[in-house]
Amino acid sequence: MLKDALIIMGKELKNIFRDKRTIFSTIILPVVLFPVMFGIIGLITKANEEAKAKAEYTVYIESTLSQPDELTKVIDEIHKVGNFGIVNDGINEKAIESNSTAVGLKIGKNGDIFVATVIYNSVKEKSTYAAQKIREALMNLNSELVSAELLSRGINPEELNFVQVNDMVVGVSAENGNVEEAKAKGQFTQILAVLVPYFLLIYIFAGSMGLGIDTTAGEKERGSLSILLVNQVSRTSIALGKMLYLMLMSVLTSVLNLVGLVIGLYLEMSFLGEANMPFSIEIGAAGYVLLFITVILLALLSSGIITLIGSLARSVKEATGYITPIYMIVLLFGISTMQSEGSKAFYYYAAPFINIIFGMKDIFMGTFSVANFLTMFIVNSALVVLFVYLTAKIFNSEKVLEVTTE
Amino acid sequence: MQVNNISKSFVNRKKKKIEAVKNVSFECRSGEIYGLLGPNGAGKTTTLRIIATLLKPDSGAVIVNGLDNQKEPDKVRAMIGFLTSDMKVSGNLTGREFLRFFGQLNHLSEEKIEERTRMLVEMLDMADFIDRSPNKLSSGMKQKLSIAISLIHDPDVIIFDEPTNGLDIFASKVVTDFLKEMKRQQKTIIISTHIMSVAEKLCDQLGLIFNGQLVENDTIENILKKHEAAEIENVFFAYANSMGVIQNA
Ligand SMILES: Nc1ncnc2c1ncn2[C@@H]1O[C@H](COP(=O)(O)OP(=O)(O)OP(=O)(O)O)[C@@H](O)[C@H]1O
Ligand SMILES: [Mg+2]
Repeated sequence: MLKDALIIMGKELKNIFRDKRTIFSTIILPVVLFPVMFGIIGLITKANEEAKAKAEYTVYIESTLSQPDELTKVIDEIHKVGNFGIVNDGINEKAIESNSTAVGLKIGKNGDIFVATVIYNSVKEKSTYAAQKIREALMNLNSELVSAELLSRGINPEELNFVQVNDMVVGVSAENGNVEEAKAKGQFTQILAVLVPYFLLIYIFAGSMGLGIDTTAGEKERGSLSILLVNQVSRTSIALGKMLYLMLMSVLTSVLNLVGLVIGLYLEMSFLGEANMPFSIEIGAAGYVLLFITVILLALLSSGIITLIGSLARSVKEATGYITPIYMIVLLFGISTMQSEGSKAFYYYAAPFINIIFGMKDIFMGTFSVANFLTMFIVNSALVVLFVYLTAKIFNSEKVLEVTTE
Repeated sequence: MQVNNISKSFVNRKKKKIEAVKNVSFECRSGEIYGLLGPNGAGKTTTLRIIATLLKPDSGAVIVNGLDNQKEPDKVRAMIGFLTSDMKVSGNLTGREFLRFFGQLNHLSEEKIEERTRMLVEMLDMADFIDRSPNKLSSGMKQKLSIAISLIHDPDVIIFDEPTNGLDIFASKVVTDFLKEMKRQQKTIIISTHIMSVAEKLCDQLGLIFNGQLVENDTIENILKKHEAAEIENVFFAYANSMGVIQNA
């Protein structure tokens, strides 16, 4: 039985990889598209930041400061934070509105306190950036004045801390000591714990959807399924063979997509100068094995449900109509559980799809429990067996010959 | 091969019951070609599907080589080569790869698959296109490939639903010559057709089927004698008239 299933799987794989479009969309696109996309986003963002930093700005100043050296101090601070030309003859609102590199600063004094208003066009990115820089300059001035005041009262500002906090990191990311590294790894693992289950869920389901409908309802429409059915091969083998094929394809596409995504994210972050984030996940060898088992289960579950529905439907259109709502529900599961932590109540591990998301989160977060994992494993395996059984039953019934092509 | 009193009805979309096959019985021995002749919608395909285990009859039984096809469908399928016009090969594999795939599913050895492929390619005149994929084939070429696929495991019983449908006169001749050769090899052959000339030239026994009923089941000679007719066509139209099925389809 398994041998026949493998023969059918092999034939389907051969068939699909003959198709150049499939190779492009399942292999080349994810591995190239994500890195290129994120890389371009990173480059554009970087270029944009650089352009903003390099640009020459004009600041229109309206000052009611009585002491001339006070204004000089303000202007000095502004020069320190960026490339500003000073126009000290009042606010030109028209110019600020129309010219993206212009901002205004009204500055005066209320007793000992400087009172400033920054005028900018919030629609314009550069104007907003310039206003931010002016604010920064004023806060620097504030710090300097505070320090000077403290010193004049005989206090060293550096000695003004009464609480000191140190971090110690425990858990999977902390295994080899270094606190800063462990923190960074923990952060990356957190990002992955949120992203990976969600993306795997979507890619695996979406990846088997199109192919699954084609190999069941599509073959019915084309009249090639009945050629298989009149042979002596058992219907269980046919169901299993098609499911295994879908499983392989969906695991392949999702892993490639994920690899592309992670490389893409990494590229983007390194363009933005955050490349010190470690490019590794610390879940241990056992974690990888468990993750692999979970991914296979997810792929089998998705392929199973899609094969079943595709075989039941009388046309591709009908199959798409049935499967789309299920896809929506799965998507919803994914989104609604994206932010939640691992280790939930027992019944979360009894619900298909949801249990897979939590199972994966547990692996990333180190909240893995044997009982929960086994529950998830048994529930999903039982469903997969049920799907194979039901699909075989459909292949055995007369219904499988019913085709509607409108 | 015996067909004993099989009946089959369907419920259509308007919840109306259609009796597609009513109490049909006939027999076909090895080295014989049995032809089911009837107009569109008469129940030919349904009858053949029941024999091939794709449909279960409401009543009656089909015995192939002593095996009941409902009790042992897998074994019966192993003995049958079945082809209907709605079965179409499609995909990106070449004809040769398709033959190999179905050979493997029938658990043939690689040598046997190669031998059968060589033989079928030669007999059906497929050498020019056997290494092309179905979507690059004409409908006649596809039909020949489908025939080859259905017979890769060298079955004893051949059941072809309108095998010359859509074929030009040359391709038709290849197929009918092929069936004659199969007959010489002592196969049990059942075909359906609505083409009188094919029925007359090819079949030893003829079953005339109208509205699901087998109205004649005999040798061509006997049928002609019984109706004092010169051609099967005359008998056919006489039945069609009396049963009011001319404009049915
Ligand atoms: N799955 C089905 N559901 C409902 N009705 C069906 C089904 N299959 C066949 N029928 C009906 O049964 C009758 C016999 O159909 P069948 O296909 O056996 O005829 P046929 O002799 O092969 O005709 P043709 O020459 O057009 O192929 C027709 O009235 C058809 O509409
Ligand atoms: Mg028919």
